[in-house]
Amino acid sequence: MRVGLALGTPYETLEAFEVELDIARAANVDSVWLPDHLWGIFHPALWKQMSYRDAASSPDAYADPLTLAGLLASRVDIPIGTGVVDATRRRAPDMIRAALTVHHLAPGGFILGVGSGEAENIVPFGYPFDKPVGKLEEFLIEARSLLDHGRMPTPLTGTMGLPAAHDRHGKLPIWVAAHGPRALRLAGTYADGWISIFVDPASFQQQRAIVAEHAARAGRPVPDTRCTMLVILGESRDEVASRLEAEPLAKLIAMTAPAELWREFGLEKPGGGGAGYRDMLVHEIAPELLADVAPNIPLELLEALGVYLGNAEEIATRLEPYRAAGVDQLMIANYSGFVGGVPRVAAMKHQFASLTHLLANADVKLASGYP
Amino acid sequence: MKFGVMLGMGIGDGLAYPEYAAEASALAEQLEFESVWAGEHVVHPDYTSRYPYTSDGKLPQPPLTDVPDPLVWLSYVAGVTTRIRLATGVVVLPQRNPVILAKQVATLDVLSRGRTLLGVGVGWMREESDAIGAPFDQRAARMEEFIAAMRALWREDEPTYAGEHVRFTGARCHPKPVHERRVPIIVGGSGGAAARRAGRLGDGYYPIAPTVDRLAEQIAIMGSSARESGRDPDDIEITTMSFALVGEDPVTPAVLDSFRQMEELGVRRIVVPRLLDGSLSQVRASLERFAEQLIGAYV
Repeated sequence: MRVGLALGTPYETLEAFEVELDIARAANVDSVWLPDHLWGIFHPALWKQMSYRDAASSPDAYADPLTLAGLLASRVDIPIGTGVVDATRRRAPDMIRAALTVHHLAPGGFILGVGSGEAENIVPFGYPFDKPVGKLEEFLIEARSLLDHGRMPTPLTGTMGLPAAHDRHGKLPIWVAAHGPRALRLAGTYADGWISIFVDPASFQQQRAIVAEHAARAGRPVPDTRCTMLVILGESRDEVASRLEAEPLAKLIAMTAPAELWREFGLEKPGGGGAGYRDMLVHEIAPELLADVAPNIPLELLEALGVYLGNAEEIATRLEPYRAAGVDQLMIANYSGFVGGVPRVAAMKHQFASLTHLLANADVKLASGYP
Repeated sequence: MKFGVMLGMGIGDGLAYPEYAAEASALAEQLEFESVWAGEHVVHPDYTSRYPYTSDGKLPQPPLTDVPDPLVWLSYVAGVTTRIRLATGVVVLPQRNPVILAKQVATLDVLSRGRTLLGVGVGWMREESDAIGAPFDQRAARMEEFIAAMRALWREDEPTYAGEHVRFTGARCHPKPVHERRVPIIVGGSGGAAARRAGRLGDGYYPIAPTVDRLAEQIAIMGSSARESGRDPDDIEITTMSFALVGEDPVTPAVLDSFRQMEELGVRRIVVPRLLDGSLSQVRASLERFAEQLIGAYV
């Protein structure tokens, strides 16, 4: 399996990003992926008690992904992607123009990953969130028209300021993050790639069949596919477990799980959040409530969500069923810093490199020429 | 006098390619230009709207000229330079989402360690706004609200803003700009409305005028507006772009004399217009010539 590194945590300095890029180089990943969050997954009032506060002064201090991608284009020569930006707040011409700028500047080109959005990016800032999937489709129709025909669909006007295709990287690819049936339809109908997250191998196969069916209906090739995983690396699962027990606030990663999963482990999810991260506004939940529930979150809940704990060999073994299900590309977010801060991220460089190596296996050729 | 150079918008191919962006901006920094500038158009439609800075009312560049996103392009420049300031000249603010733009600008400021200048304008091309679905008729009101909203997003821990075009409550926004949670906002434009707006709201003012006399009129309007708003006009840094610097060997004694007149009017920064009219080697030669003749004349 090919592995891309998702810079999934807030960083506020160039030096902190360099730590991640150092890991990307050591692990020889095939791509770097950037998230788009205005609000992070941890409550600001609890952040100062967490070791990852050394990465950023706020849990919300995620860099704007397109702007960050511009800078990373001067640092890496593998593809840079967004995983993902929401299609709700920006019309397609604005987004495509920014994406094409990175596509031209980056030696490895750019992949525009888009999704229907999350409440944290939209609701607190006064924008409607009532028809996110409909908005995503409007975006994709405009984006396809701009990239395939060079014009907005109606009226046919407005050439882009940059060519849709780069002479070396080809046309800017659009990937769609999708989980539910409507978004899966959009991935098949419009996208060059499909990003999957928090899905077990059996569900992955079912969802991929839906995407493929809609691609066929649209007369398009079956999109490439990349599954997203979160990892907290350590010397062993037991060692990571003891760190999480010592720093239980990190277990609030489980707030990104749907309420139903919490109930399977006998817990009520604070604040509801039935759909997981998509409809969660963690900042509006009393921090005392979150601090109280954190120690009671079982590690098995995190693992059922898709947060893998342990050393490279343990995690690679548990990801094998995905290979058997046909997954050949992964996007791995390194959450190791949530138990130990930026030094812990740096210390886990070799574990991440080992994990990538184990997942890559001998029959998969990784991107070459990376510095 | 400080000298900036417009490298992120020009005529010709290659503008958005790393070979040009890296070499031209690094050379500008090495030659002691104070700032590198980038403008924007999101799309380039067929248009009848009048461009305010040419005699025929048309953009000087043909429709298929490369026009990258200025924030993304400047972020790349931030990665290959260490000192030179990074300026938009200008972002068409009413076409933007102010929440996203605040995050983009703060990100650029953090990644560049506080080198960002945000030039903004209301725009002039109705067809462009129409093509991307942004209201054109209320663009001045939208711009003034967006400036206030972005400043709130940068400054406050739990920003709140209630306007007609943008509103939010307790909307935390990070990262914050490096210097006192502010990025200088430079209000651009060629008319009286822009001058008055700069006097009321701007950290800087960026007029472009065909003559020094016309420039003086606009600066006077800005000054009056500032005083009426209880502000000191001297606190509003004035930048202008000189189209006298386009063409073969343009730095004449008369041009230098006009710059001294501008300095007496309060102009503190002159931006050299587009350089990419030809090859990268021509850009290199132009930068070296301007550095010697302009920056050298003021040392």
